[in-house]
Amino acid sequence: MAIVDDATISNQTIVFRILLDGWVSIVANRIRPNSLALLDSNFENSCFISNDQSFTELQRLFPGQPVAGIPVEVLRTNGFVVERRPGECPTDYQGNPDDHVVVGPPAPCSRKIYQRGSQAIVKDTRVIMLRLVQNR
Amino acid sequence: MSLLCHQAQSQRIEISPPYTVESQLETTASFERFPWLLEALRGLRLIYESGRNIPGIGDLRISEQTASFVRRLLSLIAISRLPVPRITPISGGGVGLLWNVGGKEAVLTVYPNDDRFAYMLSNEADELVSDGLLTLEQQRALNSILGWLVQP
Repeated sequence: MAIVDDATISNQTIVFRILLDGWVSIVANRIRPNSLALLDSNFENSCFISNDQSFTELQRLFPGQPVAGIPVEVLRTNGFVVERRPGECPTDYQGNPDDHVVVGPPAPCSRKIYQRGSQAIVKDTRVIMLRLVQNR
Repeated sequence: MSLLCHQAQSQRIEISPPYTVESQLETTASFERFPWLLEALRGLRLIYESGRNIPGIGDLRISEQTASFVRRLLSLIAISRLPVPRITPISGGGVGLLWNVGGKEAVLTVYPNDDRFAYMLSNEADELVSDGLLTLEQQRALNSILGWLVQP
């Protein structure tokens, strides 16, 4: 499905990508998402718009998981776009379903181009890494 | 044609069994020559068995067909001194293999809907130096790519 860029989401917005531990690497003394973190065989990945409520919800749903905070500007600079997909939001997410977005290329492209864009995004130094607190 | 030869031909039997079989001896020899292989296959099995759909992250289930493709891919690698690759699911049913050797990184990706695998090589400065798509028939190219990792 083509992804339609949502102009109401500003470049300054941060989206959270929940990661598996295997999607995190230490490269040149820096912890960052690795090249597998933002790949999908359908060329679109789930993320969440960052705000206080979404962070609280992600903390509840994915305790202990690493998270990449990706500026939308970094996505767009590398050929990706952001679309709200409330209908694909996890059913147990108790925040605003509009927080759920998918990111990826806006039109069909080759796998090589897609992976280049994805890798450039995760390597960008503006991407921040967090880890959600483990439940006690 | 001698009678003996004719008999030999007429009694020829099909030596390929009608089912997939891997010689235990060959398998053992491979593990000895390629010490990373056993752990890699274990890693693949782990993500195959534990894969699930996680809304908000992605569908991490891997099909038997994809797992088989990755096993065949691993079996083509003829470099003994590689470290064990990190084997991780890719959202949407794919599998990623990642090696990091002295700051150099090689990533191979397998997607469920593509009979090719992709590679990406990054140097010690974390810069992409080469990428592309290969098929399982391109064993020499695969080993050349991964050989770059362990070159001094």
